[in-house]
Amino acid sequence: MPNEDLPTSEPMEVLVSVSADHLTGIRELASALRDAGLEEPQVLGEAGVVTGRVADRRALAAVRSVEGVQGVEVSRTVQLPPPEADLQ
Amino acid sequence: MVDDGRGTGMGVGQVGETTGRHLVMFATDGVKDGMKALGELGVEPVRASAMGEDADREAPILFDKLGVAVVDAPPEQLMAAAGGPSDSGPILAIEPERVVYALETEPALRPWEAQDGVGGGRSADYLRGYRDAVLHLTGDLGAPAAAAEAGPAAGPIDETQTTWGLQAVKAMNSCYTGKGIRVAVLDTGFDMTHPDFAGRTLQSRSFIPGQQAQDGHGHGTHCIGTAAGSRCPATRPRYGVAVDAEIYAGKVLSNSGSGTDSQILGGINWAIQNRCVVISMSLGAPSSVGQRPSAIFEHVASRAASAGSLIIAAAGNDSARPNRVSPVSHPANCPSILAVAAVNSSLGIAPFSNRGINPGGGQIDLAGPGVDVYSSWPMPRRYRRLQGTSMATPHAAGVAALHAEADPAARGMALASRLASSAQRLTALASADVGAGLVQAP
Repeated sequence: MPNEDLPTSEPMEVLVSVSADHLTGIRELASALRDAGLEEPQVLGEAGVVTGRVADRRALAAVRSVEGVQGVEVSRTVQLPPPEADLQ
Repeated sequence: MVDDGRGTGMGVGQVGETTGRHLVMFATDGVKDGMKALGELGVEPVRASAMGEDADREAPILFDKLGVAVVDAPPEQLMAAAGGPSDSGPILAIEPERVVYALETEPALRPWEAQDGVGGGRSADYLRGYRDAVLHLTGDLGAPAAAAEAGPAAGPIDETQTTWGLQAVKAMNSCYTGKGIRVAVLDTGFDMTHPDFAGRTLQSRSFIPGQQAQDGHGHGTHCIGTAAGSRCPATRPRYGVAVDAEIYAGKVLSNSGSGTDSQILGGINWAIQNRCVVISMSLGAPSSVGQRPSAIFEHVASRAASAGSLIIAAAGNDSARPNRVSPVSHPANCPSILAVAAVNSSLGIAPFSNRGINPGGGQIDLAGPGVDVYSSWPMPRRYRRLQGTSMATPHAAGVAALHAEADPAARGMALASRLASSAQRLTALASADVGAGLVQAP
Protein backbone atom coordinates (compact mmCIF):
# COMPACT_ATOMS: atom_id res chain seq x y z
CA MET A 1 0.00 0.00 0.00
CA PRO A 2 1.33 3.45 -0.80
CA ASN A 3 0.49 4.73 2.65
CA GLU A 4 2.67 2.14 4.34
CA ASP A 5 5.68 4.37 3.95
CA LEU A 6 4.37 6.93 6.38
CA PRO A 7 6.47 7.60 9.47
CA THR A 8 5.17 5.39 12.24
CA SER A 9 6.71 6.75 15.39
CA GLU A 10 3.44 8.50 16.19
CA PRO A 11 -0.02 7.00 16.78
CA MET A 12 -1.75 6.15 13.53
CA GLU A 13 -5.38 5.83 12.61
CA VAL A 14 -5.77 2.51 10.82
CA LEU A 15 -8.35 0.58 8.82
CA VAL A 16 -8.60 -3.19 9.32
CA SER A 17 -10.56 -5.27 6.84
CA VAL A 18 -12.02 -8.56 7.99
CA SER A 19 -11.86 -11.76 5.96
CA ALA A 20 -15.13 -13.28 4.82
CA ASP A 21 -14.98 -16.22 7.21
CA HIS A 22 -14.65 -13.93 10.24
CA LEU A 23 -17.39 -11.44 9.42
CA THR A 24 -20.01 -13.07 11.59
CA GLY A 25 -17.63 -12.85 14.51
CA ILE A 26 -16.46 -9.32 13.79
CA ARG A 27 -17.15 -8.12 17.36
CA GLU A 28 -15.04 -10.91 18.84
CA LEU A 29 -12.38 -10.06 16.32
CA ALA A 30 -12.52 -6.42 17.46
CA SER A 31 -11.77 -7.62 21.00
CA ALA A 32 -8.80 -9.60 19.74
CA LEU A 33 -7.63 -6.53 17.85
CA ARG A 34 -7.89 -4.46 21.03
CA ASP A 35 -5.76 -7.03 22.83
CA ALA A 36 -3.22 -6.76 20.03
CA GLY A 37 -3.00 -3.00 20.44
CA LEU A 38 -5.83 -1.48 18.41
CA GLU A 39 -7.12 1.40 20.52
CA GLU A 40 -10.77 2.47 20.54
CA PRO A 41 -11.85 -0.05 17.91
CA GLN A 42 -14.96 0.90 15.96
CA VAL A 43 -16.83 -1.96 14.32
CA LEU A 44 -18.29 -1.17 10.90
CA GLY A 45 -20.24 -4.38 10.43
CA GLU A 46 -21.81 -3.71 7.05
CA ALA A 47 -18.51 -2.50 5.65
CA GLY A 48 -16.63 -5.47 7.11
CA VAL A 49 -14.05 -3.16 8.62
CA VAL A 50 -12.78 -2.25 12.08
CA THR A 51 -11.15 1.15 12.52
CA GLY A 52 -9.04 2.41 15.39
CA ARG A 53 -5.59 3.69 16.37
CA VAL A 54 -2.27 2.01 16.97
CA ALA A 55 0.57 3.49 18.99
CA ASP A 56 3.45 2.52 16.73
CA ARG A 57 4.69 0.17 14.03
CA ARG A 58 5.06 -2.72 16.45
CA ALA A 59 1.37 -2.50 17.36
CA LEU A 60 0.56 -2.22 13.67
CA ALA A 61 2.37 -5.52 13.04
CA ALA A 62 0.57 -7.16 15.96
CA VAL A 63 -2.79 -6.04 14.65
CA ARG A 64 -1.93 -7.30 11.20
CA SER A 65 -1.13 -10.77 12.52
CA VAL A 66 -4.51 -11.32 14.25
CA GLU A 67 -6.37 -14.22 12.71
CA GLY A 68 -9.24 -13.00 10.55
CA VAL A 69 -7.50 -9.80 9.48
CA GLN A 70 -7.51 -9.47 5.72
CA GLY A 71 -5.56 -6.25 5.44
CA VAL A 72 -4.49 -3.16 7.34
CA GLU A 73 -4.05 0.31 5.90
CA VAL A 74 -3.13 3.60 7.46
CA SER A 75 -6.07 6.00 7.21
CA ARG A 76 -5.55 8.72 4.61
CA THR A 77 -6.90 12.26 4.81
CA VAL A 78 -8.95 13.98 2.14
CA GLN A 79 -9.11 17.75 1.97
CA LEU A 80 -11.54 19.94 0.05
CA PRO A 81 -10.54 23.36 -1.20
CA PRO A 82 -11.75 26.28 0.96
CA PRO A 83 -15.40 27.27 0.46
CA GLU A 84 -14.52 30.41 -1.49
CA ALA A 85 -12.67 28.43 -4.19
CA ASP A 86 -14.44 28.17 -7.53
CA LEU A 87 -13.04 24.72 -8.28
CA GLN A 88 -14.32 22.00 -5.97
CA MET B 1 -34.28 -10.15 -20.58
CA VAL B 2 -33.79 -9.77 -24.28
CA ASP B 3 -34.95 -6.77 -26.18
CA ASP B 4 -34.85 -7.28 -29.89
CA GLY B 5 -35.52 -3.64 -30.60
CA ARG B 6 -39.22 -4.17 -31.25
CA GLY B 7 -40.27 -3.88 -27.67
CA THR B 8 -39.38 -1.62 -24.83
CA GLY B 9 -36.76 -3.58 -23.06
CA MET B 10 -34.71 -3.22 -19.98
CA GLY B 11 -34.66 0.46 -20.25
CA VAL B 12 -32.15 2.45 -22.02
CA GLY B 13 -34.87 4.96 -22.62
CA GLN B 14 -36.63 5.39 -25.86
CA VAL B 15 -36.04 2.71 -28.44
CA GLY B 16 -34.77 4.63 -31.42
CA GLU B 17 -32.51 3.57 -34.22
CA THR B 18 -30.40 0.58 -33.32
CA THR B 19 -27.07 -0.44 -34.75
CA GLY B 20 -27.22 -4.21 -35.08
CA ARG B 21 -24.77 -4.52 -32.25
CA HIS B 22 -25.92 -5.67 -28.86
CA LEU B 23 -25.06 -4.90 -25.30
CA VAL B 24 -24.58 -7.94 -23.13
CA MET B 25 -24.86 -7.32 -19.41
CA PHE B 26 -23.16 -9.80 -17.14
CA ALA B 27 -24.12 -10.68 -13.60
CA THR B 28 -21.85 -9.27 -10.91
CA ASP B 29 -19.80 -12.44 -10.76
CA GLY B 30 -20.66 -13.54 -14.27
CA VAL B 31 -18.10 -11.75 -16.41
CA LYS B 32 -15.77 -14.73 -16.62
CA ASP B 33 -18.49 -17.30 -17.34
CA GLY B 34 -20.30 -14.93 -19.65
CA MET B 35 -17.11 -14.26 -21.58
CA LYS B 36 -16.57 -17.99 -21.88
CA ALA B 37 -20.07 -18.41 -23.27
CA LEU B 38 -19.44 -15.64 -25.77
CA GLY B 39 -16.08 -17.18 -26.62
CA GLU B 40 -17.73 -20.47 -27.49
CA LEU B 41 -19.84 -18.48 -29.90
CA GLY B 42 -16.72 -17.09 -31.50
CA VAL B 43 -17.29 -13.68 -29.96
CA GLU B 44 -14.39 -12.59 -27.86
CA PRO B 45 -14.63 -9.03 -26.63
CA VAL B 46 -11.50 -7.02 -26.03
CA ARG B 47 -11.20 -5.74 -22.50
CA ALA B 48 -11.49 -1.95 -22.52
CA SER B 49 -8.82 -1.78 -19.85
CA ALA B 50 -6.40 -3.73 -22.03
CA MET B 51 -6.88 -1.72 -25.17
CA GLY B 52 -4.20 0.50 -26.56
CA GLU B 53 -3.63 2.17 -29.86
CA ASP B 54 -2.84 -1.16 -31.43
CA ALA B 55 -6.15 -2.67 -30.39
CA ASP B 56 -8.23 -4.25 -33.10
CA ARG B 57 -10.66 -1.51 -33.88
CA GLU B 58 -13.25 -3.90 -35.22
CA ALA B 59 -13.26 -6.11 -32.16
CA PRO B 60 -16.15 -6.14 -29.74
CA ILE B 61 -15.51 -4.42 -26.43
CA LEU B 62 -15.83 -5.60 -22.87
CA PHE B 63 -16.14 -3.00 -20.15
CA ASP B 64 -15.14 -5.49 -17.50
CA LYS B 65 -15.49 -3.10 -14.59
CA LEU B 66 -19.05 -2.41 -15.60
CA GLY B 67 -19.86 -5.96 -16.64
CA VAL B 68 -21.01 -4.91 -20.09
CA ALA B 69 -19.82 -6.15 -23.47
CA VAL B 70 -20.67 -4.70 -26.86
CA VAL B 71 -20.86 -7.46 -29.48
CA ASP B 72 -21.79 -7.79 -33.11
CA ALA B 73 -23.89 -10.94 -33.21
CA PRO B 74 -27.61 -11.69 -33.52
CA PRO B 75 -29.44 -11.79 -30.20
CA GLU B 76 -30.85 -15.27 -30.90
CA GLN B 77 -27.32 -16.57 -31.28
CA LEU B 78 -26.21 -14.79 -28.13
CA MET B 79 -29.13 -16.21 -26.25
CA ALA B 80 -28.42 -19.71 -27.46
CA ALA B 81 -24.81 -19.41 -26.41
CA ALA B 82 -25.67 -18.14 -22.99
CA GLY B 83 -28.65 -20.36 -22.36
CA GLY B 84 -30.68 -17.16 -22.32
CA PRO B 85 -30.49 -14.31 -19.88
CA SER B 86 -31.61 -15.20 -16.40
CA ASP B 87 -31.31 -14.12 -12.84
CA SER B 88 -29.05 -17.02 -12.03
CA GLY B 89 -26.89 -17.28 -15.15
CA PRO B 90 -23.87 -15.19 -16.03
CA ILE B 91 -25.78 -13.07 -18.56
CA LEU B 92 -28.42 -10.76 -17.12
CA ALA B 93 -29.66 -9.07 -20.25
CA ILE B 94 -29.09 -8.59 -23.94
CA GLU B 95 -30.32 -5.46 -25.61
CA PRO B 96 -29.78 -3.60 -28.84
CA GLU B 97 -27.34 -0.75 -28.90
CA ARG B 98 -28.91 2.55 -29.79
CA VAL B 99 -27.69 4.80 -32.50
CA VAL B 100 -26.14 7.83 -30.92
CA TYR B 101 -25.49 11.24 -32.30
CA ALA B 102 -22.22 12.98 -32.69
CA LEU B 103 -21.74 16.17 -30.79
CA GLU B 104 -21.30 18.47 -33.75
CA THR B 105 -24.57 20.32 -33.95
CA GLU B 106 -25.71 23.56 -35.43
CA PRO B 107 -24.50 26.43 -33.27
CA ALA B 108 -27.91 27.26 -31.88
CA LEU B 109 -28.71 23.64 -31.22
CA ARG B 110 -27.12 22.17 -28.14
CA PRO B 111 -26.23 18.50 -28.02
CA TRP B 112 -28.92 17.40 -25.59
CA GLU B 113 -31.56 19.17 -27.62
CA ALA B 114 -30.27 17.49 -30.73
CA GLN B 115 -30.58 14.08 -29.19
CA ASP B 116 -34.12 14.79 -28.13
CA GLY B 117 -35.06 16.22 -31.44
CA VAL B 118 -36.37 19.32 -29.75
CA GLY B 119 -35.39 22.86 -30.49
CA GLY B 120 -34.97 22.28 -34.18
CA GLY B 121 -34.50 19.66 -36.82
CA ARG B 122 -31.69 17.17 -36.86
CA SER B 123 -28.69 18.31 -38.79
CA ALA B 124 -27.52 16.06 -41.54
CA ASP B 125 -24.10 15.31 -40.21
CA TYR B 126 -24.63 14.30 -36.62
CA LEU B 127 -26.22 10.93 -37.11
CA ARG B 128 -23.68 8.27 -36.59
CA GLY B 129 -23.92 4.71 -35.52
CA TYR B 130 -22.61 3.19 -32.39
CA ARG B 131 -19.92 1.68 -34.50
CA ASP B 132 -18.33 5.08 -34.75
CA ALA B 133 -18.55 5.46 -31.03
CA VAL B 134 -16.86 2.13 -30.59
CA LEU B 135 -14.07 3.18 -32.90
CA HIS B 136 -13.57 6.26 -30.80
CA LEU B 137 -13.72 4.34 -27.57
CA THR B 138 -11.08 1.93 -28.73
CA GLY B 139 -8.99 4.31 -30.74
CA ASP B 140 -8.79 7.19 -28.35
CA LEU B 141 -7.25 5.32 -25.46
CA GLY B 142 -3.80 6.71 -25.33
CA ALA B 143 -4.44 9.22 -28.10
CA PRO B 144 -3.31 12.79 -27.59
CA ALA B 145 -5.69 14.82 -25.48
CA ALA B 146 -5.74 17.76 -27.87
CA ALA B 147 -8.79 16.66 -29.80
CA ALA B 148 -10.65 15.93 -26.62
CA GLU B 149 -10.33 19.48 -25.38
CA ALA B 150 -11.98 20.96 -28.43
CA GLY B 151 -15.68 20.70 -27.89
CA PRO B 152 -18.12 22.43 -30.17
CA ALA B 153 -18.50 26.14 -29.52
CA ALA B 154 -20.91 26.81 -26.71
CA GLY B 155 -24.10 28.46 -27.75
CA PRO B 156 -26.10 30.60 -25.41
CA ILE B 157 -27.55 28.35 -22.72
CA ASP B 158 -31.07 28.94 -21.55
CA GLU B 159 -31.07 28.24 -17.83
CA THR B 160 -34.17 30.21 -16.97
CA GLN B 161 -36.11 27.07 -16.07
CA THR B 162 -33.52 24.36 -15.50
CA THR B 163 -29.76 24.20 -15.24
CA TRP B 164 -27.73 23.12 -18.24
CA GLY B 165 -26.67 20.05 -16.31
CA LEU B 166 -30.21 18.81 -15.84
CA GLN B 167 -30.88 19.43 -19.52
CA ALA B 168 -27.75 17.52 -20.50
CA VAL B 169 -28.63 14.44 -18.46
CA LYS B 170 -32.30 14.76 -19.53
CA ALA B 171 -33.65 14.81 -16.02
CA MET B 172 -36.49 16.99 -17.28
CA ASN B 173 -37.70 14.40 -19.74
CA SER B 174 -37.80 11.53 -17.28
CA CYS B 175 -40.99 10.31 -15.69
CA TYR B 176 -38.88 9.13 -12.74
CA THR B 177 -38.07 11.30 -9.73
CA GLY B 178 -36.16 8.99 -7.41
CA LYS B 179 -39.28 8.41 -5.32
CA GLY B 180 -38.68 5.72 -2.74
CA ILE B 181 -34.94 5.68 -3.43
CA ARG B 182 -32.50 6.59 -0.69
CA VAL B 183 -29.49 8.57 -1.78
CA ALA B 184 -26.61 9.10 0.63
CA VAL B 185 -24.36 12.08 0.04
CA LEU B 186 -21.20 11.75 2.13
CA ASP B 187 -19.75 15.23 2.33
CA THR B 188 -19.63 18.30 4.61
CA GLY B 189 -23.24 17.86 5.72
CA PHE B 190 -26.23 19.97 4.71
CA ASP B 191 -27.79 23.33 5.47
CA MET B 192 -30.92 22.17 7.27
CA THR B 193 -32.37 25.68 7.07
CA HIS B 194 -32.34 25.89 3.29
CA PRO B 195 -35.90 26.80 2.24
CA ASP B 196 -35.81 24.80 -1.00
CA PHE B 197 -35.73 21.59 1.05
CA ALA B 198 -38.60 22.32 3.42
CA GLY B 199 -40.79 19.25 3.76
CA ARG B 200 -38.26 16.83 2.23
CA THR B 201 -37.42 13.50 3.82
CA LEU B 202 -33.89 14.03 5.07
CA GLN B 203 -31.79 12.05 7.51
CA SER B 204 -28.44 13.27 8.68
CA ARG B 205 -25.56 12.02 10.74
CA SER B 206 -22.19 13.46 11.57
CA PHE B 207 -19.04 11.36 11.65
CA ILE B 208 -16.91 14.36 12.59
CA PRO B 209 -16.28 14.54 16.34
CA GLY B 210 -17.64 17.72 17.86
CA GLN B 211 -19.48 18.91 14.74
CA GLN B 212 -23.14 18.67 13.87
CA ALA B 213 -24.31 17.56 10.42
CA GLN B 214 -25.21 21.19 9.67
CA ASP B 215 -22.98 22.24 6.76
CA GLY B 216 -20.38 24.79 7.80
CA HIS B 217 -18.55 24.63 4.49
CA GLY B 218 -21.11 24.60 1.67
CA HIS B 219 -19.77 21.78 -0.50
CA GLY B 220 -22.23 19.22 0.86
CA THR B 221 -25.22 21.51 0.40
CA HIS B 222 -24.21 22.12 -3.22
CA CYS B 223 -23.79 18.40 -3.97
CA ILE B 224 -27.07 17.44 -2.29
CA GLY B 225 -28.82 20.15 -4.28
CA THR B 226 -27.61 18.64 -7.54
CA ALA B 227 -28.39 15.04 -6.63
CA ALA B 228 -31.79 15.61 -5.08
CA GLY B 229 -32.76 19.31 -5.06
CA SER B 230 -36.32 20.49 -5.28
CA ARG B 231 -38.67 20.22 -8.24
CA CYS B 232 -39.83 23.77 -7.51
CA PRO B 233 -37.10 25.84 -5.85
CA ALA B 234 -37.94 29.30 -4.54
CA THR B 235 -36.40 30.82 -7.62
CA ARG B 236 -35.67 29.17 -10.94
CA PRO B 237 -33.79 27.42 -12.36
CA ARG B 238 -34.42 23.94 -11.04
CA TYR B 239 -31.07 22.33 -10.26
CA GLY B 240 -31.85 18.93 -8.65
CA VAL B 241 -31.99 15.63 -10.53
CA ALA B 242 -33.86 13.19 -8.25
CA VAL B 243 -36.43 15.56 -6.78
CA ASP B 244 -38.26 12.94 -4.73
CA ALA B 245 -35.31 10.90 -3.51
CA GLU B 246 -34.88 10.44 0.23
CA ILE B 247 -31.75 12.31 1.24
CA TYR B 248 -29.20 10.83 3.64
CA ALA B 249 -26.69 13.54 4.45
CA GLY B 250 -23.63 11.98 6.08
CA LYS B 251 -21.07 14.45 7.31
CA VAL B 252 -17.70 12.78 6.75
CA LEU B 253 -15.82 16.00 5.97
CA SER B 254 -15.43 18.72 8.57
CA ASN B 255 -16.50 22.33 8.22
CA SER B 256 -12.95 23.02 7.09
CA GLY B 257 -13.33 20.38 4.38
CA SER B 258 -11.15 17.61 5.77
CA GLY B 259 -11.95 14.02 6.59
CA THR B 260 -10.21 10.72 7.10
CA ASP B 261 -10.70 7.31 5.53
CA SER B 262 -12.08 6.12 8.88
CA GLN B 263 -14.76 8.78 8.87
CA ILE B 264 -15.64 8.10 5.24
CA LEU B 265 -15.94 4.37 5.94
CA GLY B 266 -18.16 5.20 8.92
CA GLY B 267 -20.42 7.11 6.53
CA ILE B 268 -20.48 4.29 4.02
CA ASN B 269 -21.36 1.81 6.76
CA TRP B 270 -24.24 4.06 7.86
CA ALA B 271 -25.49 4.36 4.30
CA ILE B 272 -25.45 0.58 3.81
CA GLN B 273 -27.25 0.10 7.14
CA ASN B 274 -29.94 2.47 5.91
CA ARG B 275 -30.24 0.70 2.57
CA CYS B 276 -29.21 3.68 0.53
CA VAL B 277 -29.23 2.54 -3.08
CA VAL B 278 -26.79 5.24 -4.14
CA ILE B 279 -23.83 6.58 -2.18
CA SER B 280 -22.45 9.78 -3.67
CA MET B 281 -18.95 10.80 -2.64
CA SER B 282 -17.61 14.06 -4.03
CA LEU B 283 -14.32 13.58 -2.26
CA GLY B 284 -10.93 12.07 -2.76
CA ALA B 285 -7.21 12.23 -2.34
CA PRO B 286 -4.85 12.54 -5.32
CA SER B 287 -3.17 9.34 -6.45
CA SER B 288 0.16 9.02 -8.17
CA VAL B 289 0.89 7.33 -11.48
CA GLY B 290 1.16 3.59 -10.96
CA GLN B 291 -0.61 3.66 -7.60
CA ARG B 292 -2.92 0.74 -6.88
CA PRO B 293 -6.33 1.32 -5.34
CA SER B 294 -6.95 0.81 -1.63
CA ALA B 295 -7.68 -2.88 -1.05
CA ILE B 296 -9.82 -1.97 1.94
CA PHE B 297 -11.99 0.53 0.08
CA GLU B 298 -12.43 -2.04 -2.68
CA HIS B 299 -13.42 -4.64 -0.07
CA VAL B 300 -15.98 -2.22 1.34
CA ALA B 301 -17.32 -1.05 -2.04
CA SER B 302 -17.74 -4.63 -3.18
CA ARG B 303 -19.64 -5.48 -0.01
CA ALA B 304 -21.74 -2.34 -0.42
CA ALA B 305 -22.62 -3.28 -4.01
CA SER B 306 -23.56 -6.81 -2.93
CA ALA B 307 -25.87 -5.25 -0.33
CA GLY B 308 -27.47 -3.06 -3.01
CA SER B 309 -25.56 0.17 -2.38
CA LEU B 310 -23.61 1.55 -5.34
CA ILE B 311 -20.80 3.97 -4.57
CA ILE B 312 -20.24 6.79 -7.07
CA ALA B 313 -17.22 9.03 -6.53
CA ALA B 314 -15.44 12.01 -8.03
CA ALA B 315 -12.56 11.25 -10.39
CA GLY B 316 -10.66 14.23 -9.00
CA ASN B 317 -9.55 17.67 -10.17
CA ASP B 318 -5.79 17.28 -10.32
CA SER B 319 -5.37 17.78 -14.06
CA ALA B 320 -4.53 21.00 -15.89
CA ARG B 321 -5.16 20.11 -19.50
CA PRO B 322 -3.64 20.13 -21.96
CA ASN B 323 -0.36 20.31 -20.06
CA ARG B 324 -1.05 17.78 -17.37
CA VAL B 325 -3.44 14.89 -16.87
CA SER B 326 -3.50 13.14 -13.53
CA PRO B 327 -4.83 9.70 -12.59
CA VAL B 328 -8.18 9.05 -10.93
CA SER B 329 -8.17 9.84 -7.20
CA HIS B 330 -8.61 7.58 -4.18
CA PRO B 331 -11.16 6.09 -3.61
CA ALA B 332 -12.79 6.52 -7.05
CA ASN B 333 -9.94 4.37 -8.41
CA CYS B 334 -11.41 1.22 -6.84
CA PRO B 335 -12.90 -1.31 -9.29
CA SER B 336 -16.25 -1.40 -7.47
CA ILE B 337 -16.59 2.39 -7.22
CA LEU B 338 -17.78 4.36 -10.24
CA ALA B 339 -15.42 7.22 -11.12
CA VAL B 340 -17.12 10.29 -12.57
CA ALA B 341 -15.36 12.80 -14.83
CA ALA B 342 -16.55 16.34 -15.52
CA VAL B 343 -17.66 17.80 -18.84
CA ASN B 344 -18.69 21.35 -19.72
CA SER B 345 -21.86 22.58 -21.41
CA SER B 346 -20.33 21.95 -24.84
CA LEU B 347 -19.71 18.40 -23.69
CA GLY B 348 -15.97 18.90 -23.82
CA ILE B 349 -13.80 17.46 -21.09
CA ALA B 350 -13.17 19.88 -18.21
CA PRO B 351 -9.50 20.89 -18.04
CA PHE B 352 -9.20 19.82 -14.40
CA SER B 353 -10.85 16.40 -14.83
CA ASN B 354 -8.64 13.40 -14.13
CA ARG B 355 -8.04 10.55 -16.57
CA GLY B 356 -8.01 6.79 -16.39
CA ILE B 357 -4.29 6.09 -16.25
CA ASN B 358 -3.65 3.61 -13.48
CA PRO B 359 -4.29 -0.13 -13.53
CA GLY B 360 -6.52 -2.10 -11.23
CA GLY B 361 -9.76 -0.14 -11.53
CA GLY B 362 -8.36 3.32 -12.07
CA GLN B 363 -10.37 4.11 -15.16
CA ILE B 364 -13.10 6.69 -15.63
CA ASP B 365 -16.55 5.08 -15.74
CA LEU B 366 -18.92 7.92 -16.53
CA ALA B 367 -19.07 11.66 -17.08
CA GLY B 368 -21.39 14.27 -15.65
CA PRO B 369 -21.91 18.03 -15.92
CA GLY B 370 -19.16 19.62 -13.84
CA VAL B 371 -18.51 23.14 -15.09
CA ASP B 372 -20.55 26.23 -14.18
CA VAL B 373 -22.92 24.15 -12.06
CA TYR B 374 -25.65 26.12 -10.28
CA SER B 375 -27.00 24.56 -7.09
CA SER B 376 -27.94 25.24 -3.49
CA TRP B 377 -25.54 26.90 -1.05
CA PRO B 378 -25.95 27.54 2.69
CA MET B 379 -28.11 30.51 3.63
CA PRO B 380 -28.13 33.40 3.35
CA ARG B 381 -26.39 33.06 -0.02
CA ARG B 382 -28.85 30.37 -1.08
CA TYR B 383 -27.35 29.53 -4.53
CA ARG B 384 -23.95 29.39 -6.10
CA ARG B 385 -22.10 28.25 -9.23
CA LEU B 386 -19.16 25.90 -8.85
CA GLN B 387 -17.07 23.58 -10.98
CA GLY B 388 -15.35 20.31 -10.31
CA THR B 389 -15.75 16.56 -10.55
CA SER B 390 -17.45 17.09 -7.17
CA MET B 391 -20.31 18.67 -9.12
CA ALA B 392 -20.36 15.98 -11.83
CA THR B 393 -20.65 13.19 -9.26
CA PRO B 394 -24.05 14.14 -7.78
CA HIS B 395 -25.44 14.51 -11.30
CA ALA B 396 -24.51 10.85 -11.82
CA ALA B 397 -25.84 9.89 -8.39
CA GLY B 398 -29.18 11.57 -9.07
CA VAL B 399 -29.47 9.87 -12.43
CA ALA B 400 -28.61 6.57 -10.74
CA ALA B 401 -31.53 7.11 -8.36
CA LEU B 402 -33.88 7.55 -11.32
CA HIS B 403 -32.64 4.32 -12.90
CA ALA B 404 -32.98 2.52 -9.57
CA GLU B 405 -36.59 3.67 -9.33
CA ALA B 406 -37.24 2.62 -12.93
CA ASP B 407 -35.88 -0.89 -12.39
CA PRO B 408 -36.10 -2.48 -8.94
CA ALA B 409 -33.64 -5.14 -10.09
CA ALA B 410 -30.99 -2.53 -10.84
CA ARG B 411 -28.97 -2.50 -7.64
CA GLY B 412 -25.26 -2.58 -6.97
CA MET B 413 -23.20 -3.40 -10.04
CA ALA B 414 -26.36 -4.08 -12.05
CA LEU B 415 -27.19 -0.42 -11.54
CA ALA B 416 -23.67 0.46 -12.66
CA SER B 417 -24.19 -1.54 -15.85
CA ARG B 418 -27.45 0.22 -16.48
CA LEU B 419 -25.83 3.63 -16.07
CA ALA B 420 -23.11 2.65 -18.52
CA SER B 421 -25.36 1.15 -21.15
CA SER B 422 -27.71 4.13 -21.12
CA ALA B 423 -24.98 6.78 -21.14
CA GLN B 424 -24.67 9.09 -24.10
CA ARG B 425 -21.46 8.23 -25.94
CA LEU B 426 -19.24 11.25 -26.28
CA THR B 427 -17.67 10.43 -29.58
CA ALA B 428 -15.32 13.40 -29.65
CA LEU B 429 -13.73 12.36 -26.37
CA ALA B 430 -11.54 9.47 -25.23
CA SER B 431 -13.07 6.79 -23.05
CA ALA B 432 -10.02 7.19 -20.84
CA ASP B 433 -11.47 10.63 -20.09
CA VAL B 434 -15.22 9.99 -19.97
CA GLY B 435 -15.72 6.23 -19.74
CA ALA B 436 -19.02 5.09 -21.21
CA GLY B 437 -20.11 8.70 -21.62
CA LEU B 438 -22.53 11.25 -20.19
CA VAL B 439 -25.06 9.83 -17.74
CA GLN B 440 -28.64 9.90 -19.02
CA ALA B 441 -31.91 9.74 -17.13
CA PRO B 442 -34.22 6.82 -17.98
